[in-house]
Amino acid sequence: MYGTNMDNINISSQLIDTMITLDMVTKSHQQPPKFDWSVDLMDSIWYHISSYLTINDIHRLTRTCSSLYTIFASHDFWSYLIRRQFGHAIWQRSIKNSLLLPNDQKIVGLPRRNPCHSKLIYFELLKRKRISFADFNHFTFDTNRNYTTIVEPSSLNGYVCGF
Amino acid sequence: MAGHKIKLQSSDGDTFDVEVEIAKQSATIKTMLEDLGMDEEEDVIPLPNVNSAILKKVIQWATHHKDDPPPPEDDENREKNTNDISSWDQDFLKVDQGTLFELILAANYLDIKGLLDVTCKTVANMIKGKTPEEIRRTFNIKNDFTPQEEEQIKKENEWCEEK
Repeated sequence: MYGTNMDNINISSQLIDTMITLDMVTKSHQQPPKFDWSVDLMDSIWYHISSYLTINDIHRLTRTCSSLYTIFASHDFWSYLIRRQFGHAIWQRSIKNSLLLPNDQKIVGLPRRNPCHSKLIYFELLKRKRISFADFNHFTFDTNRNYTTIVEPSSLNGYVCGF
Repeated sequence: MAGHKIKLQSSDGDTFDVEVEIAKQSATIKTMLEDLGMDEEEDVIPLPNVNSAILKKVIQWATHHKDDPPPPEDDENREKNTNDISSWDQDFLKVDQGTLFELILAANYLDIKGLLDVTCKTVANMIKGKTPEEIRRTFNIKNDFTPQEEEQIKKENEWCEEK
């Protein structure tokens, strides 16, 4: 009886030893998790990160690999940037209704492979803002986060607000 | 109800008792509690996308920030800077890259705006001013461009680089 119990204990401890060894083998084969940030991070998070970067930083990101190029050279990204930087009203008019840039020929000095349409619009808006939207930065949000209207003769069609 | 606690369960089955007010910094958990009426102490909220180590960090962050005012809504027009990370957050985020990566994913999944902002700022700081090759090395990104393709992209961007 006593012997049998000892046998059982021996078998159990052998089993545990085997399990521990197996576990160690498994663990030794496990590399520390290495993430490829360009592929494993969602586009929306890259967009969020981009809000803290300059245009030049974003351009350097596009040169790192094809996944980041696809994210940051896309129509979606530049359209998002317009909405973020210029607001929904401008985005709606410039991207959704495409009132700006009826054709891309308006911008001179383009490289051979044209950037996406929304990127062209982004820089066109940036240029116009610098030239004529002197008061553009002075608009405020009302409690619903809509723009309050500022009548600005030099702005697009004489008004800034589209709501 | 100060001190009222709920249980959060990580993907690997560990359960953490957390004050409701701390847990509610996660919009995802807040919605669960409010919409699904899960406010009994016995209720366990499963968080299948967050492992114990990361959940522990998230709870540590949320506990430290429990008395913070609610983060402001994104003001799209505001210049975003990355120099305003508190020293506590800087110390908190002195972690290996895998942990930082998983914290971003957890902050995104749990919808904790403050944590997502500060982790994305940290990543942005790791990108700013770096060459594409330095960015690749930092984030373990595989270069799948030929030198010609990389040069082509560099040229594509030249017309709109900030000087």
